[in-house]
Amino acid sequence: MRSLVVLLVACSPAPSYLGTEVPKPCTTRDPEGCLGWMMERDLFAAELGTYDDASLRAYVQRVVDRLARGSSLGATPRIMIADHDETYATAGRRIIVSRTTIEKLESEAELAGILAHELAHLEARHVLVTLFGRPESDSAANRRDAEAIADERAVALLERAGYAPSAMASALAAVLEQDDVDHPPRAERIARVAKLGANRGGFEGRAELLANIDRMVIGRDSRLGDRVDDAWVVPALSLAFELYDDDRVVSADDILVVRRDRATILAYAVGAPWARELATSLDASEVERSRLGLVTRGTMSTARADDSPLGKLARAIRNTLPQPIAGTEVAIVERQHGALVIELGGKGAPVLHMRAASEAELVASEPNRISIEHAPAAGRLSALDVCTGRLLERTDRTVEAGDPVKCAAAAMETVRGE
Amino acid sequence: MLVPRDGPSNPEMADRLSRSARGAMGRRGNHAVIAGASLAEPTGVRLYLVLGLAACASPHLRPEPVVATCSTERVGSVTVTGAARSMVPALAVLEGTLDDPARTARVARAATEALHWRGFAQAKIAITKSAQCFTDLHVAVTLGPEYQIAAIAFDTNDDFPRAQRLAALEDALGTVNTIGGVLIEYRLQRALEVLAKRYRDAGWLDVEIGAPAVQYAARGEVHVTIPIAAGTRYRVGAVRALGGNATLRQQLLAQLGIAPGTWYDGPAIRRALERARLSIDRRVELRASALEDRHEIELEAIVEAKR
Repeated sequence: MRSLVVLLVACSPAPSYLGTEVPKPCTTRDPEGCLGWMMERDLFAAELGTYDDASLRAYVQRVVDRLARGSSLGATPRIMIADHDETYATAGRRIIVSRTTIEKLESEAELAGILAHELAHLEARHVLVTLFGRPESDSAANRRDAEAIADERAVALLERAGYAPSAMASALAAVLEQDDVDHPPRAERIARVAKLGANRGGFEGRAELLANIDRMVIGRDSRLGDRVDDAWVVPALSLAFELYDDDRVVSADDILVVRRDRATILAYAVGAPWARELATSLDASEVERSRLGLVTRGTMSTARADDSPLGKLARAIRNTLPQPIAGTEVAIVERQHGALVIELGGKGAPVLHMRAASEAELVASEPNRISIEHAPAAGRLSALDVCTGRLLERTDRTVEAGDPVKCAAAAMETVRGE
Repeated sequence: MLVPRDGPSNPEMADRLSRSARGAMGRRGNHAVIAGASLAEPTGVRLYLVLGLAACASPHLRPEPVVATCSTERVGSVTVTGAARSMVPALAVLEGTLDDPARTARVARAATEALHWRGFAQAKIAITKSAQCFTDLHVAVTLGPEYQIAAIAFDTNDDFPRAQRLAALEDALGTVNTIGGVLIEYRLQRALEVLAKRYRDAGWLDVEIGAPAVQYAARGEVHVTIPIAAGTRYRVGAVRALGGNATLRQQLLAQLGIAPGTWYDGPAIRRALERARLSIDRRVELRASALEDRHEIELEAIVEAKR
C-alpha cells in the first residue's frame, strides 16, 4: 500500500508556473517567497523585461551585499536588472533595479543609496501590507510613511557600509522627476535625507560605477520594437512586421498599434513560456508551422478559475501580464526566444506580412550605449573637448586629467545638465 | 542603532554603550561609529569581522562605517522587549531615521495589525522613548496567544460542495483563512462576497451569507462558523432565440446547448455564449430573467441585436 501511495505521489504532476516547476516556497506555505519567484519569472519568461548583462548584475549584487551586512536582513536580497522604468523591492527578498535608474546615477554611493532604500522596504517588510493589508492600511498616508522611512533608513545603511551618506540626497535628486501620491513630495524627501547625511564623508566610488556601466544601453532599449523605414522591427525576435503606405501607425515602439483599413492591429513581444500558455488557451485555434515559427490563430478565451491556493496566487499575477482580453482575435508567432502576439480588432481581416528582420534592420535598431571616456585635461567639462554632443554629465562638473567621463556612444538629442 | 559622536552624558548611557558597542563598533578617539542593525547585542564583533573580510574582497571600498552626528532629531536605537525584533520589522527599521512621533504611532498601529496577521490576534504594542545623544525607542510587545483556525463550519444544509466553500475562503498559499492558518477577518469578509457570487452562479440567486461567528478558544484555537441561508436553487427555464432567421436561431440554440430544467450554471452559460459568438455572430447577446415564483431563469439569446 505504501509503495502504491509513493508511486501515485511520484506520478502526480508537479505544479508549474510559466513552464517551470514551482520552487519550494510555493509548496511550503511561503506566499512571500512564492510571489517573489513568480514576479521574477514573469520578468524573464513573460515580459522579456530583464536587462541581460551578467557582469552589471553581479556588480549591483555586490553593492547590495555590502549594504545587507549592515541591515537586519538575515540573507542578502536578490538583484534583478529590469529594462523598464521602475525600481522596486518585491516579495521574496528581491530588488528589481531599473536600467534607466542606474543610467541617471553618478557614483557607486548613489547606486548604494537607491539600493539601500529598497533594502529598507525589505527590512521593514512593507510588502506585507500589500499582501495582507486592508485597503485603509494601504492608504496613501501609510505608503508615504513607508517611503519616507525607507529614504531615511537608507542613510543609516549607507553609513554602516561606509558609503558617503550625502549620496542619498544626490541619488534622489537624480532619479526623482515628479511628485506622486505614493511618495512624499520630492523636495521634502531630498531635504530630509540631506539633513541626515550632511557634512560627513565616505566612499563615493564614482570611477567604480562608471567602469561597470560602460557600454550599458541608455534611453529606450529598442530590442522589443522599433520603426525602421517601412517595417516595425523586433530585434529580440529577429522579426520584421511590414507596414504599408496607407497604414495609420499610432505607435511603433514596444507595442505596435496600426489602423489598417477598418481593422486595428496591436502587436507586442512576450516570452516563450507565456506565449505557449496564451497559444494553448485560444479557442477555435488553427496552428500552422511556417518559416517564421509556429503560428497559432484563435480567439482569447476566459481564464478558468483555479481555486487552489497556488492557482489563486498565479491568477493574480497572470492578470498583470501582457495579454489579450477575452474574445479578442489573436495570432501568436512563436520564435526561438519569445513570440509576437498580434491582436486584431475593428472590422475586416487585414493581411499581415511578417519576415525575418534583415541584418541592416537589426543594426539600424541598435540602441545607444554609454561610453566612458577620459578627460584630456583638468578643468570644467564645459571647457574641455570631451564627447561633445554626447555628454551625459553636468557640464559644470570639474574633473582632473584622466578622470572618467560619462558619455553616450552616439550623439544624444538633448544633453543633460545644461 | 546609532552610537554617539560625543561621550555618554550619564551612567545609564555609558552602560548601554558598553553593552551595545562592546568591542568592534567602539569608539575611536572622540568619535563613535554607527553599529549594524542587529548589533545591539554582542554580535558587533561578528560584523566587524564581516566588514574586514569585505574589505579584503573589495579593495576599492573603505569598510569603516561613517561617523554619525549626535542629534535627538534622529532615532538611535530601537529596543524590543516581549518579542523578537523580527516580529516588529516595521518598527525595528526606524533605527537611524528621523524621530517623527506621529509617524511612529502610525507605524506602531500597522505593526500591531501585522502581528494579528501572524496569528497573534490580541497582540499589543506600546512605545516609550528616551533622549540622550539620539532619541531611543523602546518597543514593548505583548504578543498574547498565537491562534490558528481549528475549524470552519458552515451553518447550512444546501448542496453547494463544502470543498469549494473552503477553497473560496482560503488565501495566501494556505496560510490565511483556512484550517491550520490564521484568521484575517476582513479578508474573510471579502472571500465571503466571492463565495456568495459563486452560490448565485450555481443557481442560489437568493443566497445570504451572514456575519461569521468567531470564537477564540483556549489553546490558541479559532473556531469559525459561517451562517448561509442559501434559499431555493434555480433551474434553467425556457431558452429562446430571438432575431435572425429560423435557421440562424436554430443554430444558435444548438450551439448554446443549454438544456431547460437543468440547474442554472453561470460559468457554463458564459462559456456557451463565447462559443456562440465565435461560431455564429460576435454580436450575440444573452438576456436572463429570474422567475421567482417558479424558481427558474429564462434565457433569451439574441442575434443581430442593435448595439
